[in-house]
Amino acid sequence: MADTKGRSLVSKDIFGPLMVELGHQYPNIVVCDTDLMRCFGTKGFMKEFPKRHINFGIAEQNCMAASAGMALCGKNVFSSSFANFATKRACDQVSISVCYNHANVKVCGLYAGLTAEKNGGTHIGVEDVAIMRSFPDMAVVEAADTYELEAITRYMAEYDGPVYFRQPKMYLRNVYDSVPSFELGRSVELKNGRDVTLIACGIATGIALDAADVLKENGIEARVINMPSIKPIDAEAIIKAAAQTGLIVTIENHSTVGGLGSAAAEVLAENGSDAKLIRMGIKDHFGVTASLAYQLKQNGLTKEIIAGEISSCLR
Amino acid sequence: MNEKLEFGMLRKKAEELRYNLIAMMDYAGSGHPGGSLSSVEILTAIYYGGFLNADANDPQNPARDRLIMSKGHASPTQYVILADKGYYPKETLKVFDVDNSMLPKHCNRKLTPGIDASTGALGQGMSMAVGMAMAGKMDDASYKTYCLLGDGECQSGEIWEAAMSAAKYKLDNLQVIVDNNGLQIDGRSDDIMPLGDQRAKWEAFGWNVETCNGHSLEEISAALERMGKAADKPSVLIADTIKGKGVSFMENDADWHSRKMTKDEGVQALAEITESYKAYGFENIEASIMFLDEKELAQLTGKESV
Repeated sequence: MADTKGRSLVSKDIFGPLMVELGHQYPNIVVCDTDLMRCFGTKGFMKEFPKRHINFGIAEQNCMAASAGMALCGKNVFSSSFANFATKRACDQVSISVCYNHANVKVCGLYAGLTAEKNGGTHIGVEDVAIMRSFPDMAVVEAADTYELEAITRYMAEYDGPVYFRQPKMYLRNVYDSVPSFELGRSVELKNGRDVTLIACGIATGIALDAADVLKENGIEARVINMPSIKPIDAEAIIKAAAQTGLIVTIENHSTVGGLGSAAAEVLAENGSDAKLIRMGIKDHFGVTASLAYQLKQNGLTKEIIAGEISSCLR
Repeated sequence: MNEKLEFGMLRKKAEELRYNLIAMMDYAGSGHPGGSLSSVEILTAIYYGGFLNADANDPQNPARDRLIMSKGHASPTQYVILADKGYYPKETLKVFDVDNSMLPKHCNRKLTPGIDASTGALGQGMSMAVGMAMAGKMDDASYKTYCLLGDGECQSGEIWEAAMSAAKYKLDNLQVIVDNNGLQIDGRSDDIMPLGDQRAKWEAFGWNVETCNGHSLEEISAALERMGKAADKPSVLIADTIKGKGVSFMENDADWHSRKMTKDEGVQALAEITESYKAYGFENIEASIMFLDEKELAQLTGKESV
């Protein structure tokens, strides 16, 4: 179990100050807000680099397309809105101005999935990964905790190209105890096991680790794979896990339609795997106005429910 | 290459571009003739009137002026200009809109040298131009960003989001031109979705507003000169134009937004532009053809039966 002491679980607490540091290191970094600096944690960047910070107000479409324009003039642009608005309100702009133009924009989707909590269905993005994953040229990433969030952010300061950078409001726990290495297309095996493989990303990775502990008490050895790069996906790790454990369970803070679970299903089917797949996530409905804990439970995303599902499947 | 032609030569150039433009679309059996023809003088003035600072031999130079065709379907006008300027061999115009062409129906920056943004999804070019102007301000760069809009495109909400942001950030390095031809695919803009008082709208959004006859090279140039001097605010030129300008049967007919010419229509269109060219006192416009040989041109002009 990773030590969470002294390390904030809140995305903006880590992301905001880190962007100030990276802003000094990389003069081409620009931050664009849509009246959500207090959620993105970028007030510090705005104060430190007023000239390299644009607040577009509540105008996500213009924000994303103008970010592309800046990127085409050599900028590395981190642009944000709530996950739902960045990917759906500005869907066409992210597709055409950013991806079709191959613009160096990091589209940051805030308060991702159920972490928008009581903001409810208008703000809880359950299909953002599905949409972003379908855009040609777009990479899709989500960290498992704030250590990995830092790793991804540092990577994105160097990386040149369109990325959907999904950020939950907060994490349930830390998974790492120091900043791990990150690479697009590479997964990380957090725990080895032979009976079942849990593949997760974002806040679900911590839940997967906890579920593995519950399973262990029941004599089931679970492998846990963290998949921070949802696109490109680490197909090799999925195929290997399927062959070695025979049961794959994907866990995600997103709809089971089109997200990590679908991505894994595509890999398994296309490679002729006969492993069984269980997709845990939000079951084809919108978020509701409720706490994160309530919604996780409603969607079967607790360690107990996940462990129960797996136990009955293996019985 | 900041080439600056005198007005007589500028008119000659505009008509020659118009001739090549029709020939290219006729040859391809494709294109958007109406909105391409309405923007000929605007783009001629920008490219040949000493405004756009860009070099065909160095199309990615970071210091160059940018030109964003937000109305990306009017790409043909820019294509004939870029060919004339030497961004690619003039024969390239033959591949306009062929399968997987480097001159696609809508502008694509990854395929065509001299195209600064991939456009065609209306409204987005305006935002991208705003972003380019913002980047210029961040870098204290002296380049300008020009952006051509259609009036129909101004029905899109994104235009006004972008307009607000350009005013907030005092983008006096941004110059927008509205090709105000009053028509869109389904008919008159005033019938489809009226824009009302365009000048008042842009002024209310904090812009310096100029208006002119969008087919007068003198008026366009004078307006662009004034816009270049406006400080601390972005400028827009509402250029009143005629959709299909220069070809009698296309003028003011919304059908010609994207209609293909029949052989006879192509012959007539080229003949009409030839007549206008002569009326301006120039001779032998056919000599200006950029991309067809005599025989190929003769087929389009109906002077040779095939």
